[in-house]
Amino acid sequence: MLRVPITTESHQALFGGPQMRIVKHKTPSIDGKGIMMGRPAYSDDLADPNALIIKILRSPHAFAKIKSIDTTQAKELNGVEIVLTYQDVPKRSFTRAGQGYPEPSPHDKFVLDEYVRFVGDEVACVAAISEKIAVQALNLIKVEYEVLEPVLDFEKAYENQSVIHPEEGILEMFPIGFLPKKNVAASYEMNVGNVDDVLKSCDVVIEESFYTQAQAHAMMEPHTVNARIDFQNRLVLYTSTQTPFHVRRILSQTLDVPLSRIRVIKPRVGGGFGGKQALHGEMFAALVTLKTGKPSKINYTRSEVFESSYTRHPMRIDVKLGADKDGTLKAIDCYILSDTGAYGEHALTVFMVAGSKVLPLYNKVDAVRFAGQVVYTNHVSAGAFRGYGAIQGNFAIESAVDMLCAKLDMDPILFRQKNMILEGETSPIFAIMGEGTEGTAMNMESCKLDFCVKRGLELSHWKDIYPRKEIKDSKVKAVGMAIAMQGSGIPYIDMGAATIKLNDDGFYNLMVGATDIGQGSDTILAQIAAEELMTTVDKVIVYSSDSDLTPFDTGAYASSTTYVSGNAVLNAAKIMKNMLLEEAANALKVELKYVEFDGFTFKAKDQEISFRDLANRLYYNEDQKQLTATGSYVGTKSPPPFMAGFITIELDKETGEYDILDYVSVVDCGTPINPKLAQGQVEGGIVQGIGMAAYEDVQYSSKGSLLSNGFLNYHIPTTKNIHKLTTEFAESYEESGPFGAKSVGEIGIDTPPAALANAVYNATGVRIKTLPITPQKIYEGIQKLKQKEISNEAK
Amino acid sequence: MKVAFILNGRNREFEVSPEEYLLETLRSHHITSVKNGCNESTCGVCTVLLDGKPVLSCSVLTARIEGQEVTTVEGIQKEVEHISDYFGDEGADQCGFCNSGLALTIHALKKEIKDPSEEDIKNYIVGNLCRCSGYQSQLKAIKRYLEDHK
Amino acid sequence: MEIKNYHKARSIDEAYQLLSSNPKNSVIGGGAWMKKSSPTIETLIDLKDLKLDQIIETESLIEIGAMVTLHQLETDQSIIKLGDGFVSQSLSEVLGVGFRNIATIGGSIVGRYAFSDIIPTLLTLPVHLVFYPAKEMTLEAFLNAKGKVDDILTHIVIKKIKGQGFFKKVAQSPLEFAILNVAIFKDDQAYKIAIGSRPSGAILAEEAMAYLNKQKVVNDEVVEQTANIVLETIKFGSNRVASEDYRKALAKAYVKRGIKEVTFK
Repeated sequence: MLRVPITTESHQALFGGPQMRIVKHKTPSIDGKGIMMGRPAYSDDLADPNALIIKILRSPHAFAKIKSIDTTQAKELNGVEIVLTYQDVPKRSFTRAGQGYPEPSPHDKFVLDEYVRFVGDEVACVAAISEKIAVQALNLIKVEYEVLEPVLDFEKAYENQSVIHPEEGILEMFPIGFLPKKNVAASYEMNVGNVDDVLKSCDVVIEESFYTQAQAHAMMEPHTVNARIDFQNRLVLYTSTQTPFHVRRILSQTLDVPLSRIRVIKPRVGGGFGGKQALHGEMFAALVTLKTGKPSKINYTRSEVFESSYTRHPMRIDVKLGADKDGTLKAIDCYILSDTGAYGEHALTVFMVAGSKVLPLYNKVDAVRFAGQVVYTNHVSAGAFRGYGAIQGNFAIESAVDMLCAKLDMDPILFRQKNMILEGETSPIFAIMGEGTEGTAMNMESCKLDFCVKRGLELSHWKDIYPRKEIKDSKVKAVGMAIAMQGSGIPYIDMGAATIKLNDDGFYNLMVGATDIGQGSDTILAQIAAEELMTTVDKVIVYSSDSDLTPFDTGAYASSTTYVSGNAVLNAAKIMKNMLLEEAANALKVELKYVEFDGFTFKAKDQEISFRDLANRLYYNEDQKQLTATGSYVGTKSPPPFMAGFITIELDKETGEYDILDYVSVVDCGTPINPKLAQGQVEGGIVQGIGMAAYEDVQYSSKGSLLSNGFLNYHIPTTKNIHKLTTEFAESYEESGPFGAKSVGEIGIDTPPAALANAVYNATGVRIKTLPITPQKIYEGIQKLKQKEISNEAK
Repeated sequence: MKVAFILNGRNREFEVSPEEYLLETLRSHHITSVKNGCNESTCGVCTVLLDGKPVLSCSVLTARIEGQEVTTVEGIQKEVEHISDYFGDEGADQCGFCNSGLALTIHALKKEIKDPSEEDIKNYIVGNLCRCSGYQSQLKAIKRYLEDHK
Repeated sequence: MEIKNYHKARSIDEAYQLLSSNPKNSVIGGGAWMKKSSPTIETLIDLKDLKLDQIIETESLIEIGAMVTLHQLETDQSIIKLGDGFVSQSLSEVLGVGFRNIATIGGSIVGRYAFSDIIPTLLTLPVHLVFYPAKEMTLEAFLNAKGKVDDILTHIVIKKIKGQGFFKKVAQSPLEFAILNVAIFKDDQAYKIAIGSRPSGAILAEEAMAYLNKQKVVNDEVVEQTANIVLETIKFGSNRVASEDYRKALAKAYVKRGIKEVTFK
């Protein structure tokens, strides 16, 4: 145990910055051991053993109307408790998206509807005493469909004859460009300066289109919910979710159940990455339990996770970049067409982040235009996924920048160093673009992007390899890079809160709404509290994400936990510390100003009382009271984390196959609260980004059914695909963040697609603009270049 | 039908249907450490040890294992605690869903291969998918664990 | 999936009688892929107790019981020695150990899976299959046989020969089915070349082998020509993971590399 002889305040006075004993130090997660050792912790581990098993009948058609549905035989099957169709559920539209209210996503979903809009869409809901019987019942439901012409090409969706949402009762909560009769879920445009004029005046202009594919989250724990009525006659849900409070609100509003009658608990979650930032199954579990009074549960199968939860929004990104011959970037024009699939969750916001969290990287341009449309198709619904648009936008812009450099004959590192955003600077885009609404102006109080690039060059041995080195036979080694930014919560919208309770013996309970989905928020929030309270992590017992017992938090998304929830914890801890000092002054019968605290003992003049004794005194002996402190926080800005990513590949020019030898990440996330866990966030993101860049592809049949619906035909990276990851953090301090921290949850995922595309170009001269970057595409590109060479020589 | 096998060192007898898989038998009897990730032989989170060998419990019919020995992390707590120390030290434990299955695979690896190289380790654990960690921290933890527990 | 009865056979004959008595009866090997086909089975017949899980090496043969698991096989010394380890290598590239401790060599062969990594390597070796009650045939003959084989596969027998082997599974990810498989074996008599997952199943490149085995000297031109003959005589196809042209490019590259590797090692 550490004994620190001076307070954080006096240390700050001496050294100009807080000395940190616990924050910025690695500490094992508070729950990893218990979980590996097998303690029941996840939603299904905690389900009522008598829970009815829920199974969903799913549409075999990409687009159809239910002409008739007969559930008589299913209902009669012994062991079936209830069968629900669109005729048995409330006809109130909602959005499944877990976002702040009013949501920037259209309310275009009904619990069950007479239209089905993708293969896998919900048709009916069965609850039975066993899985076997539930599945049998599904097969007994007779449905007659009127099959409609599906829209399976997002470039043909706008004003298509087939209208995917023709129904009444759907709406936008505020203007987002919602035009369902034209298959438009959202649209947006913003201008800084006059981009067309500036482009005309540029020496060099490039114009390119990029395609990013849908990506599946593929978290290891499939979606799972269980519900019960407790002894206070309240509906209690255990659900694997990123947004328990939003779940509670959406259930209440849609099912018309008073909010006070619902409790939502998030236990351990086996991964989310955005795929659980929405309702998946909660409606059915809630309805079944409310209607039958019995506990129920729904566990998605792996193919249901692929087919019927979410994917990332696939996009086409049209980019125009204009620069002068000296390499000054003067104009960016970016148009995006985004495919939100059957329902519009996260449609506007993901598409906007593709601009708002990429374009400010090049803040010194004279003009920027960002515009686009999000269209409905009869694909699996797209939703939130780590990066949240930034990864798609980054692929396009950072690839385009390298293409511009090739045309300018300028080194891509020098170009970026000349044009990228630096500490103390700003971009007009921050003020203009928020998440669905207007943004918030901010200066980059902390931005170490220049260091990140410099250090990354060293770690990747860039200068020894760029652009490529021929090895023997047909193999070549090459490097590529990209820079990226993200955010830290949504200012003026995301609120987090924390309550700290003092116990006898001198330890604390820390109750937070913040949602640990495996990223370690419980641990780092304990570290923040322990740092401020000058105690140790084992004396801060965390309980999180229970809508009854913990204060509010918007949830684990938008990289908000470290920054927003962390600041809330810091506020609560400061309040608690002041309360303790007052109680100590009271106990020692001195004035407050004389009391000093080192985490263990309160000293005043020649008296002292140990923290432990004070706590016991407050519980049992004198001036008895329960000390609790609640702190909240809403951000007034969203200070971006930054990173530079450098990839080294070895590529076989004869076959197009390649190996990723090393990925270097240099990250500025302010103070990493727990360097090991922060590294885990970066590296986990890098590998998911590599998956999107290289291996993962959501593919459909010509009739719209998902072909990539299992791990055998959807290939996430395995341990053998990852040879070396080199991760470092820049020395950086964000004043507005808790102990100087910014968030770090998403930044890791953004750079791999562009870095890989740039490396492949450096290796072969082949520019791949459609993800994923497969060996076949590289091989075909090489063949095309050879043909061009031959025909050029012939001339 | 009845099947009797040894579960974590104790003789147990279960009533199962012929098409019941070991994953379902274990979870329905509160062995919650064994997870259902895909139920179709592809992800590894359901790994248990059968006669000391790592197998996918979602792909083993319970009816077939009469008289055999099944081990889950509940049965080798001390060993798993040691492994978890290394994972905690490297920050390799994120959502944890793959960890119990992986711990059993590591335990079997230690017994099966003396002095495994990095490639040996990767080949052995490749079937235990992880979506959170990026694998690097897991590998570091495993290497250090095996080195210290030779 | 539904299984009405489970029965552990006490003799191979009992298993055979039971299997023949009802078309809805089925023998289980490893059972690792059973969920995929979701069958309805009257009686599932288990051969577990019939000691078909042994690998017996004699002076001239390796006799492998059909119930030997893939992991058991890949780690067996006699298999590791074959062709400088190329059979072992092809086995070890099948998913993970948790799968390979269940899947059996018998099940893997009887399935005649087009994407199989094991069949191409075995096809380049003298391998014959033993069925109960009364059939024996080469692996190649079994692969070419149309329709279901009613007898029960009990043993896979490999004649021990000294030589160099080469195996390449082309896939971006270890847990993926091969885009293409190439297996080559050379002893002092001849070269054998097998291509699998084309996407169709493994097949010997007879014409290419015939050409190569006639050559007195194996130089770059010969290797190139052999590869060209493979492209001309073996059928490749397109599916959603790769095009026909790309598979041809891969086949050419790896046939050439494989021949060079087994020749000049």
